Amino acid sequence: MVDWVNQTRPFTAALIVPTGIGAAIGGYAGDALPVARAIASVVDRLITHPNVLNGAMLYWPLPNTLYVEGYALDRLAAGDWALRPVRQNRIALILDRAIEPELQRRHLQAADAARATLGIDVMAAIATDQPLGVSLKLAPSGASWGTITQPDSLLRAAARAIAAGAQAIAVVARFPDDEGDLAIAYRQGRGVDPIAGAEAVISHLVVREFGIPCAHAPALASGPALADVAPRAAAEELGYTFLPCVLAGLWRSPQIVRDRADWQASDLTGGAVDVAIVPASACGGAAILHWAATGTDILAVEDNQTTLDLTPAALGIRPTRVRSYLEAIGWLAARRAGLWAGALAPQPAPLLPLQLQDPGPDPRDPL
Amino acid sequence: MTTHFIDVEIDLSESPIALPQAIEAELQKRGEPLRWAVADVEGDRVQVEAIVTTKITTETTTETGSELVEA
Repeated sequence: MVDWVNQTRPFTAALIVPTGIGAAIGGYAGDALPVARAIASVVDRLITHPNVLNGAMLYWPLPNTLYVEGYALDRLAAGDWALRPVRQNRIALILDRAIEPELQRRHLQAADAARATLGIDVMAAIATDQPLGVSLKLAPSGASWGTITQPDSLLRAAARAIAAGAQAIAVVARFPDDEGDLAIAYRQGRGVDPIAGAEAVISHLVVREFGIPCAHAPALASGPALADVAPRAAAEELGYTFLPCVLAGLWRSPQIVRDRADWQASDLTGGAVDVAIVPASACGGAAILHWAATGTDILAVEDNQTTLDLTPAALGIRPTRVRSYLEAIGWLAARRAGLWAGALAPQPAPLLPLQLQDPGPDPRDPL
Repeated sequence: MTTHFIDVEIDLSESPIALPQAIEAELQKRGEPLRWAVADVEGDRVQVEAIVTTKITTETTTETGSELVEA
């Protein structure tokens, strides 16, 4: 039997785990990827972002999942941009001039491996004309942020890549080999990812300027095998680069359509998203606020705690609260099936007694 | 171009529907918004942490006087 409703209007979820806020699930090395895999199995389409799907050397292809950079997600939710699924992208690799020769060679080898072993079209590698100058900081809220001192150098390299035919851009910037307390705690599965904020700035700059899929992998020196690495952080200890997951994600990242006049009926707009899933304490991001404002269901997951302490109610958001992603998955399955959730509870509440009301004027009466 | 970390306060008396637009309008006064999120709510005030970008301007002196040139 054909599920006509879900064929003509695919049930679409957006999974968001903001980067750099120490999310218990998803704040480390692609550790929200199992969540994405499970959710993808109960929805028709899943939209999510690199922080969820990037596991450095590890990744998992999900045929019904769109890999969408965070700035593009914000604009999608605001109703400004649309997404157009593609079969594949030509990817340009931008390497920070500050990367030392041996580490640069590792990244070129990762790109070659993606081409030969995965069939991903990495069409060119371009070095920036200046070192990008990554710096890392913490915001007063405790969230990670950072920046680069040479954003124009990044944008010039991206412009060259696009002029050469690139349809997506992978950026690798040289990050400090920080062995401070934050980095140590992160490897032990605690606290915020100290590099996350700067990573977001890098890819946001390219996406905002050019409206092209983009994702970032940090270049860091490899160190000796450590004894105290938490499982959630372990994926980032496996190899010389974090680039493979970025190339796997950008391979089929949807193209961005910024001009409403160019939108086609088959493009995916923010209004096509049925539900956005987010940690309950982190509902204050741009995408969630835009979706909440348009009446999209917000599913707030309570046990994915973060460094933030922001209740949805404080922002005027009335989400559906679930305790865990497991419960979220059940809710999504029921929603897709068109079920009243109360029917799945042991004692569904009865209807309120019938209430009579005054007849009042007949709305059909022209007088 | 330069990036700047800023924090601003927005009046929450705006309806939830208008809140993201109000935040972005406030940030536009400081630069081109790149990334933002509400960090805290205190009473009717929303505290937003954001990153905005601004273009670099340099002042050059010519025979006719100074003019601002965007880099």
